[in-house]
Amino acid sequence: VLGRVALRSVRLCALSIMTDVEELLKRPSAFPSESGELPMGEFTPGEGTSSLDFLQTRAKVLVVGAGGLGCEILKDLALSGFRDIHVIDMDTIDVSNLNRQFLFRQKDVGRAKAEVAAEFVNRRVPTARVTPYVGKIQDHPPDFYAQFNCIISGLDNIEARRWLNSTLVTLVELDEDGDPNPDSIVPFIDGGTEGFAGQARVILPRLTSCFECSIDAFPPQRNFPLCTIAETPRKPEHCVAYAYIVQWPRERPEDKLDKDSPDHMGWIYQKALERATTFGIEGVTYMSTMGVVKNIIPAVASTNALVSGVCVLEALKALTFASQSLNTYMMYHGTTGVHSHTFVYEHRPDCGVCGGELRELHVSRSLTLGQLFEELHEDPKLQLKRPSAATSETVLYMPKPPALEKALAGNLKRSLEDLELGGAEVTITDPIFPGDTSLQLKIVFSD
Amino acid sequence: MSDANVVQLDEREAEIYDRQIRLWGVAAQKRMQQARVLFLGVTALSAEVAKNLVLAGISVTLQDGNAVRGRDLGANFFLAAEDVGANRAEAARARVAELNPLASVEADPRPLEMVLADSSTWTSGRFNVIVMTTGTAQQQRTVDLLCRSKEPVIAFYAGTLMGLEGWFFADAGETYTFKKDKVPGEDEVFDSRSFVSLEVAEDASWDSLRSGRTFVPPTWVKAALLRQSEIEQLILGGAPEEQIGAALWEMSESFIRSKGEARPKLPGCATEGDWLAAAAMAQAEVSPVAAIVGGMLAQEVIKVISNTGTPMNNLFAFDGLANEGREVCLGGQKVRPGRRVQEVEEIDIIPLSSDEED
Repeated sequence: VLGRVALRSVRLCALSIMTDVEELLKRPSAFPSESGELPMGEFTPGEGTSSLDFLQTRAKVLVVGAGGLGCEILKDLALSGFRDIHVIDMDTIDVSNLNRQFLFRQKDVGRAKAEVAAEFVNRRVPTARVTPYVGKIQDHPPDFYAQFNCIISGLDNIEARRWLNSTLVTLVELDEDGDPNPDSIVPFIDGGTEGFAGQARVILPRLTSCFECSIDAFPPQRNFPLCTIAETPRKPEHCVAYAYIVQWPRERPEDKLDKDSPDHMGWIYQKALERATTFGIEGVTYMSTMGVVKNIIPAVASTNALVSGVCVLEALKALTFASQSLNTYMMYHGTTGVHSHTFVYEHRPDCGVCGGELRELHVSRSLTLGQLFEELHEDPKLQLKRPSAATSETVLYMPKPPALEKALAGNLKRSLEDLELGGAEVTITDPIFPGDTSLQLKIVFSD
Repeated sequence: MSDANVVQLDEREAEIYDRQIRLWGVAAQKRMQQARVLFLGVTALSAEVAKNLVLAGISVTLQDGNAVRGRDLGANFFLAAEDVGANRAEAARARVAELNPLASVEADPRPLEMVLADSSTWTSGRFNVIVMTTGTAQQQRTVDLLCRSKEPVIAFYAGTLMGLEGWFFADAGETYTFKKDKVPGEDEVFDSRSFVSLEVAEDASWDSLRSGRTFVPPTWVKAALLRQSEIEQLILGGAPEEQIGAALWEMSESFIRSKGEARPKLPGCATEGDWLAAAAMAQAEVSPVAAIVGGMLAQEVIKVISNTGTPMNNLFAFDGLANEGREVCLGGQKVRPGRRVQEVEEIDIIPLSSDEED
């Protein structure tokens, strides 16, 4: 026993092998309670050495986001034995990040997050080689994402997730029978947090539900109807919104609102408070004013650490088959009651990205093309931004380039009947979906 | 502007802690900044908890009488290769401290027995919480009882990582009163809970945990067996995994039955292979599992220090195979209602700036 322990210590110091992960991979059998529900590959006894070798010499992981989740994800990946790690983030460091984005210090404020995060981890964990990319995920072509064995995202907005998800689903090659080629599947592990709540999910594009399958489950973005703000405010947020949307442009037209200026924010706060008092609404504070204007999401280290841990655990299992994968969604609530809940998020047959079903749209023949686009924007399951539409015979509308937009703008006012679209198959593309992802709609007149 | 209820954080604190103050408010933040947590044992789990607490503004003391081993580097972000051989608490201290210059991080390199025997450890108000991730089960039970006997009570947490699994136990005292999370538009509500000691929790039977198709978490079944003194002796003595696994297997059926669990063949702890796996993973620290259990534990400590939010009572067990966390209450009543409704004044934060003269 002593000899084995000594040998292990020597090897460890010489090669910085992560002993406990190694033990996990080299154990003699699968954990007996593994059911292997996700088609991710099974634990094979005796493959420990080659799994570890893959982890350390060939596995290539991309972390999207170097903020609250990203910092934690990078730490866990490096400590778990991953070496070729890439991280992308477009933001710079702000003081308010320091309560949780622990790879950053006061002296780093103003520098690019991806770069500082990479430097820190490379210094702290000698086996890690983190490569930073400063910029938007949309700046990289699908080929860039195809090179990774796994992508973990710690993004802070839904739009970016939809873009990334769509890119990865599109990468999957389907054979003549419609079956996915496993080599073209990039496992996508997505984490998100807000305050004490968070979730982590495993997406195997074309095998499990994708991110787009769940877009109708997210609460709508915080947009207050203008009439509520103007006529019938009920909540402190309405008063704040009125102050910066209506009163500022009206009373200070020559000043551009600077959300980082205490003067400007103080003015907004004062106006919001006055309005709230008039309407008998309580709860307007300087802090809540900042929160509404800057759309601040509250955040703490512990929630981020937990959700990131789940994501990296999944990445470790996915790439080494150390154990079965999460199938497919885990939710965490740090406040009361049941803290975590794990379930299968089912694939949606009519999902805009991975659905594959030809969606039939039953509409009135007098609906205009413009009104149709509005419906596609409002539909919680589609939430399109700025669609383009075409049939196999003709282009109906494109928002860009300007010359084409101008030529086709008239179509927006024409009815679907007038455009002879009854029974037609329309191909819709949208900037929310990169590349040639498209939606197929069959127009059916209901009247 | 003047307002009698204004509680002022200094500008630096208001800036750095902005995102978390939006969750628990200024009063709670102030209480946290005045608190100190003692960590008995610097392990992957306690390092994660310490990180989360220090970032949030809570001061900590890291105790550990042991030297850094090579294997500690596998899951502890605050230890590096050059630390091997040095005292574990002292090695980690500086890296934990630099996470937040506004919090104080101390190291205590003395062995556990000496720290526990030192009366200054128990001076009223010195430590609000003790988090213990080392020591034997008996030592943990002793520390827990000491914590409960103090005035005010010191909240006690114990926890361990076991490969892809992990758990922690919470004891905030016989009568713990707290503010429930405020629902907008409602007045503050107070409530209380009663926690049993670790000793009572471990002695209690498991049959009250069975409800419908749920039962005691297999993770805790393994932990409970590993905490039997016979098994602990084998592990501390460096016995080979096969021997530990065999001993566990031999003990398991009668032990589980003795806990009132009629089904001794629980999933994950039913076969000899299960117990061999449990022996192999007994002290294995895997970074993401440390982060998950540590994140949960830290949030519980924050709740108790800030006295806000319903505490977890009393065991959290995490199974990384299915990525499932479960809470159960070992040996005690879950809820002892004691609601009081109380008006609370609105407080505001105005960051100090030079033109705010009032």
